[in-house]
Amino acid sequence: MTTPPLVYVVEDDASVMKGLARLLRAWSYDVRLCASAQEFLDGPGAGEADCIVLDVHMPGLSGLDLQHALHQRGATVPVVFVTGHGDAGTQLDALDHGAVAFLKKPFTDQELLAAVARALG
Amino acid sequence: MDETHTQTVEEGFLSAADRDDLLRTIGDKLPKAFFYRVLHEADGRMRFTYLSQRVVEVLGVPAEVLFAEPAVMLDLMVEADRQRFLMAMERALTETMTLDVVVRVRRFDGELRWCHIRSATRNIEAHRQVCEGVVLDVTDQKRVEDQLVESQTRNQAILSALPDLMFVMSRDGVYLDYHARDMTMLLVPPEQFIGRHMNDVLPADLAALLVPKLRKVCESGVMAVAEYSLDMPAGPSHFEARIVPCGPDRVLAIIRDTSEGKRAQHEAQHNRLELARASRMTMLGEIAVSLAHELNQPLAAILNNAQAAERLIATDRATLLDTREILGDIASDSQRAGQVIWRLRELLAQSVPERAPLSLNQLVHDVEPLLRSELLTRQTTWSVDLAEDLPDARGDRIQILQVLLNLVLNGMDAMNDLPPEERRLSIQTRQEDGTVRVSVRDTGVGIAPEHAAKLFEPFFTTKPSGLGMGLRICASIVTAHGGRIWADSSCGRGAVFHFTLPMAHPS
Repeated sequence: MTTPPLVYVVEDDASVMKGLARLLRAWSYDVRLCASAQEFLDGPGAGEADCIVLDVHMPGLSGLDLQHALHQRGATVPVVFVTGHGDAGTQLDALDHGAVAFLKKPFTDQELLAAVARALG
Repeated sequence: MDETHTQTVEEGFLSAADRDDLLRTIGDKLPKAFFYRVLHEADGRMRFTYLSQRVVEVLGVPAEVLFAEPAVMLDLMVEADRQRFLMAMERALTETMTLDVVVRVRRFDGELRWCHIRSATRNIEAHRQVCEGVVLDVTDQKRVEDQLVESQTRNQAILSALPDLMFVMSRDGVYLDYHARDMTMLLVPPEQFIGRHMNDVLPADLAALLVPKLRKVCESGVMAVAEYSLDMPAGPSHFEARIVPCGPDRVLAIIRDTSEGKRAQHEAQHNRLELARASRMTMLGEIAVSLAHELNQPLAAILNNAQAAERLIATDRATLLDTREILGDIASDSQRAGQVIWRLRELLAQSVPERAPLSLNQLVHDVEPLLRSELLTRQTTWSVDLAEDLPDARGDRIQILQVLLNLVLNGMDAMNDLPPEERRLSIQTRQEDGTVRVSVRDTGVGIAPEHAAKLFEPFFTTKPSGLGMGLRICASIVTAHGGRIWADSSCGRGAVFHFTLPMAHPS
């Protein structure tokens, strides 16, 4: 029996975080949660995550800040961005820096699962 | 007793000499009058044979002058009146009748006097006649009459120029008299209301409003004012009635048609509301993306939760506990989305402003969900410092929410050029000097001294795309609430915008 992939959800909105976690767990992913980018950086996530589902706008460090920080650290963990804003500039910035997908809320389970699957290779 | 007196006179108790003495005494004592007797000869000459003492008081000429030269009397008369007098005298002599004429006399001292000349004509022998009578100085009476006429003329002029309706009514509400510049101003023709009670003329609710006021005005002597609407033949109109006492048990009601003023007032109020609403829409447009985000968050959570539940059920892993928890979260996220929509709707709706007790602390809480996403996007730190036990203010929730939103968005705009870690916005509420104060502080560029005085003027803006109406509308709203709005700033060190509102229940 193989270990399920570990997906980190980094999202400041508790409701959204809970919904994402439930959905991913329903599809048998191992899910860990961080309420901020800083919390992720301070924890073991960068070393152990197979994929990050990352919110763009958060208090303190934004999702893009986290993506840059991971780059600087040389971490190659794939990122799926989720956002309620979805402006084109942010999207391009995220994709240019290697994001696997940029999902606009609200998105369906199929969109999320497809993006995560792509991230996991 | 009367009978005895009458009898005494009829019996001729006085002798002819006594009677003459009596008449002379009366003639000499009459104030501003004199008796005279003048003899008209057959050849047309005339001469005074008697003049009582007061002739000098009335004409300013001693009796001796007139005895010597009777024509002086005619010379004293104003030209136009002299002709009239001569014609009247001619007729009195010809027809042996009473002379009764009023003439103006210019005395030697220049004073003009009105004299009422009244005499009887008697034939004493062929072609000789005597006129005996009295000359009364009626100048004072004439002056009063003139003043009365002048006053009446003036009153008539004022009345005819006044646009108001006037009614004289008994204290019980019966119409006694009226004045109307134009009959179309009346609800019904005069014959249908004069002498009738207000209850029989006016709609019942209006009569019920006005009748007690008439009684109160009569009792207190103090003016009462009533405003009312009435369906006139030309259409619905608005009136203001001022009711004042007018003699015993009567009142005068002055009715002014205020429809035009009311219409203008409503129109101005409507325009103000429209302007405020347009400003709210512009403001919401500026944060539309953030508002969409605020709506998308709960929608995303709902969708994710629902699809997770679907998956769990499809794979037979759904426990009752999980399902109940998921449904609970879906319900609360739906409420959250609903609240965002509800707040948007109330900000966009054109509602009639109301003055109600208003918790400004709650208002700060209410504004937060609308701005949360915008604060995140603009990487602005937000803090609140709310006074405990803050008394309610009195105001319109939506309008004050608009003011608060506007000040917060302005604060964020002022910090655009700062590094994100320096962008701090704080809101404070306090009770102060019988008012409730809200202060919005930013750490932005501050207000240049030359701009400070113009902040609340229309079309003043320092933003490249601003219209300069936001703060002007805030000031208009706060002032209309009986509050005050002002700003403090040290240039380059941020600004604080404060506004106060009166307390709902002043202590």
